[in-house]
Amino acid sequence: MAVTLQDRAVRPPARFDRTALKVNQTAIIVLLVIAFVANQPWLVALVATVMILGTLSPQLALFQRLYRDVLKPAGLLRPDIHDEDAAPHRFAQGFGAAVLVAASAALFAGLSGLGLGLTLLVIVLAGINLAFGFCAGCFVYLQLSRLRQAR
Amino acid sequence: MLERLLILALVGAIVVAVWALLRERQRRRLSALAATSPFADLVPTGRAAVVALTLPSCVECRARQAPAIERLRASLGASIHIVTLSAETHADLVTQLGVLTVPSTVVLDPAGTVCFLNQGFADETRLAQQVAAL
Repeated sequence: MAVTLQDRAVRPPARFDRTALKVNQTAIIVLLVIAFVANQPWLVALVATVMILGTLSPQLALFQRLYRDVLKPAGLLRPDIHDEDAAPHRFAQGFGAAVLVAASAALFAGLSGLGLGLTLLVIVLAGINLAFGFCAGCFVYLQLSRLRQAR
Repeated sequence: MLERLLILALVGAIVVAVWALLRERQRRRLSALAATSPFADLVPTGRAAVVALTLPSCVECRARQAPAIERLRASLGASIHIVTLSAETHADLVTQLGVLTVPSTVVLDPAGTVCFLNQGFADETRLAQQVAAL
């Protein structure tokens, strides 16, 4: 059934800077690529920690602080402000952090294949989101919903 | 180290190739739908329309797409139809259009022809530009 939105009140927009998001994603990808290529488990653990802190509080998001406190004031990057909620981005970051925690645990436990595989997964999914704006989690979500319906 | 660089390059090439194939598939599908009106029973004709395909428990749909759709309606008013459909209830449309993810948005011309399909979040600026391009 179609549901029109005509009667809904327009919610006051939340302000969100997409440049901060892109800096965050780029930093995560670059550091994880270095960790993957140079085989540095501690770097995976460091990125996981930064992502966990950033998920818990935007004030603790190190890479976004780098943008807000250094890159933006220096005029190196320009803000790209949009009216949208940051909650889905934080959720995605939290999910990525959870995968990286598992990757770190696997790497420190000597399960290199599993640890590197999970690290590569986060690199690829973050890269797809950064390059194409495509949310892989949303894709999986719809496909699972369709599978449930098909049963 | 060289081996891992090659793995990264290979994975990157595969991702780009798959993305290009999906884009081409979508372009062909929309071309094939040009002579049809898949939303005939759901969206009135006579005005351009934006259809949002969502799922009730999709956070991205609720937190980003729905507010963007509401702001689009606030700016374009009665000049367009805006309709939200469940991707679960309208699984046939999801298949017919080749929708891969939620939220997705479809822009229809006044005759009901599918002109644009956005896979994933599309903000009100992008949707307004697509409506203006009809």
